[in-house]
Amino acid sequence: MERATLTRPTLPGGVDPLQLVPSREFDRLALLLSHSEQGAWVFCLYNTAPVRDAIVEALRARLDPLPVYEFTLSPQQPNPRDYLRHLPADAASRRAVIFFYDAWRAFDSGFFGYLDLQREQFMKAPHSLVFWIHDADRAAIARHAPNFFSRHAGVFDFRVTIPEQVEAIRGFWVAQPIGWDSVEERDRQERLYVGLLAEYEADEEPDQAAIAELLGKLANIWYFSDRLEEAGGALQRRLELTRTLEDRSGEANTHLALGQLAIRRYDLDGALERYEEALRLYRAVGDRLGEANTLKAIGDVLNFRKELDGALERYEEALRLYRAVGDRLGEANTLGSMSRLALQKGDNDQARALLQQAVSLHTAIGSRYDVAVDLGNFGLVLRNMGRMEEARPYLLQAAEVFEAIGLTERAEKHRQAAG
Amino acid sequence: MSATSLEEALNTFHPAPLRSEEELNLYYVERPLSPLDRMAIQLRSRQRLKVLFTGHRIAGKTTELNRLTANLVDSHFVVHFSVLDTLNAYDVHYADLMLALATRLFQRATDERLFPRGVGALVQEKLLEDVLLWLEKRIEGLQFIPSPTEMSLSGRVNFLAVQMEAKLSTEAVTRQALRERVSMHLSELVEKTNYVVGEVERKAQRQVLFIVEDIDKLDLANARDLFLEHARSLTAVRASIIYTFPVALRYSPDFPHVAANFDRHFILPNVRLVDRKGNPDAQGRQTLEQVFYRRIDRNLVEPEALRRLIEASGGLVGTLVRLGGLAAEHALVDGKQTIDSESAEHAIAEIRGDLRALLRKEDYEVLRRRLAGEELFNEEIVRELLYTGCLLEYHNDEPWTGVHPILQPLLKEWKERP
Repeated sequence: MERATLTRPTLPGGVDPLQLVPSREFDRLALLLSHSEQGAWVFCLYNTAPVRDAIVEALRARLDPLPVYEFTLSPQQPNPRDYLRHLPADAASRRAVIFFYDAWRAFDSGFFGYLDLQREQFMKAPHSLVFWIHDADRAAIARHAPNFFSRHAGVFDFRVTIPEQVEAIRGFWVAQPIGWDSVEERDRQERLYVGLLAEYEADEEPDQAAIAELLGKLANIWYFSDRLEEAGGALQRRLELTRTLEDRSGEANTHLALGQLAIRRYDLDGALERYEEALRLYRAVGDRLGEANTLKAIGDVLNFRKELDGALERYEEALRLYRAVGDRLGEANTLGSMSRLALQKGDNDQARALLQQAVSLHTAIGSRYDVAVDLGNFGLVLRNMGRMEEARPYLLQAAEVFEAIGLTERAEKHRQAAG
Repeated sequence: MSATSLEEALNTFHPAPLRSEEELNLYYVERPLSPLDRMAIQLRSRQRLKVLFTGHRIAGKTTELNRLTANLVDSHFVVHFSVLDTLNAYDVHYADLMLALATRLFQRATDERLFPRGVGALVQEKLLEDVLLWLEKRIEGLQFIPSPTEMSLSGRVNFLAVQMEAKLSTEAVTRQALRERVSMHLSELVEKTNYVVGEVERKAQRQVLFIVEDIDKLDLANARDLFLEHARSLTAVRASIIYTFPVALRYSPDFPHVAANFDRHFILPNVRLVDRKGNPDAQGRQTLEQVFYRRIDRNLVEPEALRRLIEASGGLVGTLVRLGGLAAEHALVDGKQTIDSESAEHAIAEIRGDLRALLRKEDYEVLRRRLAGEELFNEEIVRELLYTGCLLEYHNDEPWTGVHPILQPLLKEWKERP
């Protein structure tokens, strides 16, 4: 699984979200939220998650300096009042705006009861509560949480009414790479893609290719959030879809991801099976980068199993392919792995030379994080081989780079390893 | 003070009941046919009155009860609380309710801030000790912080009562354990409560009155179970008690059985805008005008706009307040200095949208029949329409129901559909 660069909520072509929805609704909502001293409770209707997110960003800017917080509801987190637990200590009694997302996911987990029966408690904080809902949810909330609903201060309609625009916005986001630089950003992307997935699934004739793509994105997010069960479920669904669609490239990507998931579960045999399947499919469709990524992954498994010759063979094959397609990141990562392999085989000069190549390439690409990983991992292998004196300079250099890029925890761990 | 700008009006039209004395002084308007004065007379003249109090959602029940509390403060020791606030649970068991009554009373009767010099005098030490022992027995083995022995007896009872209430509202496991223990010893709890009631009444020379709000907001089946199956427990405490009661149960065939266990049943009617024959009711309209002008300066709303808002409110004070806020918001967005008819119509369309979202196909037919003058029977669909506020109840000499006026254009459209 790969993490791409950070993406922010935008719409295709940098379109202003307020051009797609009635600006009167936006102005009215901003007015109400900025003036309401005791907190207003409102519902906002939307029909596509990217526009919802773009409106939230625009509101955040308009309401500044009024604090804005976000709370995502789910079957595991169905009680909207739990938002209080996530606020900074001094925010509970101060004016603020809270955006609630994905209420529909909590409908079967007691959401209505929590909303309705805690009305009096909600009234104790001067917070404006903004629930983003679909049109059909409005009737459900009115019917099942009537006491809360009777106190709401407005329903604001942010639905995009032109179907072609909705389709273009969704398609744009399905095609975007994912990536994050904070937990908040990761959560925002998860919310976005969960929302888009539900939108596609609700279509009369769902776009299966888009659904498969979204499942892949979500699996990636869940994999990096340590939610392996959910990631596995999404990948299995994706595998079935790609097979139905006869999308061999998509199927290969899914096998590769399932292999990585198997590694996280310490199932090395299972991982190799998945990788072999991915390799077969990549070769069949002529995807050399996919083939290189898979060979590198197989090399890592064999390396872990101490099957050093087999590992080296795969790394060399991967390196050749990365160079052929011009993927410098893959090339640098493989060189890093090969340097550690050389150490284990006792070829110290070769190991240092390979490490130097990996560091130079990662530096040229601009990835200081990977430079620190190259140095740190090299040091850790030496340390594990009982060569502490040799390991120390590498570990300390890695700590220095981690520190410089703000990863203080990683830096500290490497310092400790250096003794 | 009424708002002197539309921005201020966004806050004065906040859709919440009036709670503090200050809010009541600023915004409260006496309404015609309110039963609260009659209720106060009954409470002053009779002891241990058990009352059911009903009204539509956002009809203003809480505000009226807050005003009643303020008016009875000289003659009554009022223990006023919301079950939602106190128990914070989906399912309210009668034992929870009885325990909440007791803990709220114990808290009030032992609150040294309320009675800085008189707690000892208010409840006898021996009796407090008895209550303390009983409470300690019930929480044995549960995760409670023991009351500090260096505290006074009243302080210790207060400490445990506050803790018990906090656990009732936040810890499902403790609530369940307490529920089981209290159910087994309910008569003892009632006895302790009655002792304290008697002591407070004797020493404070005021009657104890419990006002238990928001039972009408519980799930209907839960409320039915409480009132029908456990009415004897709910009326066992020897004090006056007012329970808010779900309007939908008022129309159910079970109501006569429920009512038989209580002394009185009062309905807070909606403010009437027309009589049963459709003739305008000047008094009702004037009341709602006053409600509006208490919250906004009269120069900020055009008379025709206010007339439309009052008409559309259906006589529900809460709806009128919401309409006022929405109309102010629309006027501001359009850069207007006052609420005019256009702003009013925008606001009305929004509230209509809320009710439209609730309507099912079969509801249109029932509402259309009523609008055509047909009498409706006490059947499930009618009870549901009353529950959702699409049908409203009014009073002349006797109650009658009418279609919410805000829905009438929708029904006309529906009727004209091919």
